[in-house]
Amino acid sequence: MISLKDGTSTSEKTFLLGVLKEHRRIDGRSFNDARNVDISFGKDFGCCVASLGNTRVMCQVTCQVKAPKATRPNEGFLFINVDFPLMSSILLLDNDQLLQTRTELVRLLERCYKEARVVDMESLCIVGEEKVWELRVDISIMCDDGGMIDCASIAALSALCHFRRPDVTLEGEEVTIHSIKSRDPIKLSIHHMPILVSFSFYENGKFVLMDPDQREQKGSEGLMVVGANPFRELCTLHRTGSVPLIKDQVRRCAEMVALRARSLVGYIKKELEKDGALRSKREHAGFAAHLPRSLMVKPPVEVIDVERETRDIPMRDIVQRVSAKRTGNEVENMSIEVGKWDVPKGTKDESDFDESSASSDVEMVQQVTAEEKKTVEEISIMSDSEEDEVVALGAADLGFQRQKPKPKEKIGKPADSQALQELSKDKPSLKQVDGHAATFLKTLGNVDKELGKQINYLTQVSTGQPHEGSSYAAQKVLQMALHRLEHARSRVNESERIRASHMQQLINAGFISRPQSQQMQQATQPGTPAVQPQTPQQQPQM
Amino acid sequence: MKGDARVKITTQDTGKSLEVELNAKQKEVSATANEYLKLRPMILQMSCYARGDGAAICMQGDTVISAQATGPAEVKLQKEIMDKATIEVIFRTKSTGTGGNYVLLEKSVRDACETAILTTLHPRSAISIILLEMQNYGSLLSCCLNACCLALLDAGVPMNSTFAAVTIGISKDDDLIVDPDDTQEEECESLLTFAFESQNLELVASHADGQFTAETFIKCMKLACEISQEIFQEFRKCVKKQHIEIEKEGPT
Repeated sequence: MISLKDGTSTSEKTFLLGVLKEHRRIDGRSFNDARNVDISFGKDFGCCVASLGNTRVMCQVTCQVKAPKATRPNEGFLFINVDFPLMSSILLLDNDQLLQTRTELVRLLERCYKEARVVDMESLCIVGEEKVWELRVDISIMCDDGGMIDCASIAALSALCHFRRPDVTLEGEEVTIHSIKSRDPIKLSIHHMPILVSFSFYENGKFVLMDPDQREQKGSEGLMVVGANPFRELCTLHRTGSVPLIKDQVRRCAEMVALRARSLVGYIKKELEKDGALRSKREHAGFAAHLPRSLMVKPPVEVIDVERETRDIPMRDIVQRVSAKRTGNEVENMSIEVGKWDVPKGTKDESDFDESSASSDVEMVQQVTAEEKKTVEEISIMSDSEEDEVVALGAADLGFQRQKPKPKEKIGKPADSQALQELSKDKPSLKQVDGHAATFLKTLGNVDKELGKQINYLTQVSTGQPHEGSSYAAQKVLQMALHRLEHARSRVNESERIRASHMQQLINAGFISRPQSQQMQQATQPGTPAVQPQTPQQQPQM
Repeated sequence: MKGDARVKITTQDTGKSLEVELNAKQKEVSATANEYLKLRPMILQMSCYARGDGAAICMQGDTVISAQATGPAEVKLQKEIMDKATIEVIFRTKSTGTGGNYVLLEKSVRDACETAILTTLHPRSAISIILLEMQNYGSLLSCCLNACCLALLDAGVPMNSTFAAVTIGISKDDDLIVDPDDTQEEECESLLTFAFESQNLELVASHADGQFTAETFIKCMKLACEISQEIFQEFRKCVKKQHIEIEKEGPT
């Protein structure tokens, strides 16, 4: 999907940009239109072919019984696999690229469907700690014309909704799995229905295209994949390329994805109903009944309306700001209300940032830009790194340091076991034993050093503190906050004293009557709070 | 011409024991013509993907196979043949988890293709065919062969002739079932698949499963030959449709 490396020719790129500057796209869509979607369900449960323009993806969900993980004894599995069975319809001839694309697709889909808990995993449990269902989602990309991920997500979601697993009964300890023919199979319980939509960016984010096709994707400077469900909940955010984005742009994209998710999910539900009705009437269902319709050589470009009127973040503003940013004169206008977004961890500070900027002081603008840069950085971190790393960052450096020595111990074990193995032989070669012993000693030394460090650290943390090390950081922050509070209080007291003395002087001199002194009061007040708002914002940085 | 061809077949394959004349055979077929001696509804579609050399989807009833043909292209060194093209056939199931051995199927399709394609025109190159199972409800092999032929046509690979395949099931009471679906296949004692080429209506490939007598085999072959005509008709319709579409699109 993301094939920025093998970009297009210069002339193609200039043509693409030229067309974009005229506010058109090569295939005649407007910037915010996606290509038309078609879904057809197979006769087998959990089989679906989705097409998005010329891109076509098939998905099959299957299930089998497995033993659960020891750590999650009453949860099933969801396994996602992406394959390119019809190789020549994919324009990635390089094997490495193919592998890379595949991994990227799998990880994105996993993030959107597995980690966002779309399927209720606990309902897949048959016998706790013994038997659970493993769902396998096999996605075959049949033809790629850009937007593979969009199409794959539609196919996967429809297939998951369409899938039914065999019924199971428990009698004592005996588990009976009924065949589909003997008993009605059971639907999966789906918590929510997120959809992935890709966007491509041109000219530093001046032009944003929804659902780019292959040519547009290749000529783009950056791509972003956003996953959201119809309840406006963000599930996935992934960015590639090197385009600096304004926060509002990301939000605008998310807004559009939510709208698209609403219309798409509606369409999927409608198609599911149609399929269900056919099945209940025992009429002909499956590809043979539906595919001919969708197998048109070139599906007409039909607009699935993204409800343009409901856009509350106008593109014109963003374009202005992008160009302003480049010249250095930035004027922020933060009058936009934040929606009821359920933002995942990394971007949670959005809401308080907007509250602070709502006052729109001149001094604030600088702060706002600084913070904005921070959020953009955070987003890029989120998109590039894996989920685990994000968690590691959040869990403070304590956990990180503790994990460090572990891998070294693991390296040490084979060395000592190898040495012992060598000794246990009939004719041990002394050289090898010596070598292994040396490496083992070295690793032991390392472990010792790391342990020493750890102990040192722990003693530092625990001495004089009533609690364990984990609360140390929080306590420090609290202490700092208390200090700062005291400081602020003294400042306020001081200014109060000065104000009182000034008032006294002025009243004594008889220059100023009552109302003017009230104005003075207001004028002095902003000076003091200017110190206060900084304190809560500095705290998280400490 | 066609009549000649049929006579030729009867003389070639049946020998002396079964000297059935063409007219008599047609009568026989029409007399027993019932549901079981008909093909399931067949839907064919060529050039169904925007990319790739040639592609086709063949639907026989509920069995749906998507085929893609590529070539002539570069060949792996170990598979290279000095005087003709190498033909590769790969069959893919839609879910990788369910195992299954399709080597035999791949080989039968490859054999049929090798006789049909003019391999000597492209020495030291590869023509690869990928078959993707979309729905499997009986008569898999014949559907694969038909899809494969259409994909080759779509890719413009030079061929001697086209070929069409029919699967015939023989039930326990020795009744013949043409193009059986999955439930019928289970009831059948044996399954025979024949592929015929379009020029002289000669046998290109055959595949048999289960027990049967020589007589039934020949009877089935003749029936299959008869029915392959229908499939060729479908092919012609499909190609015609395709070309009309291309002509329509031409000016734009």
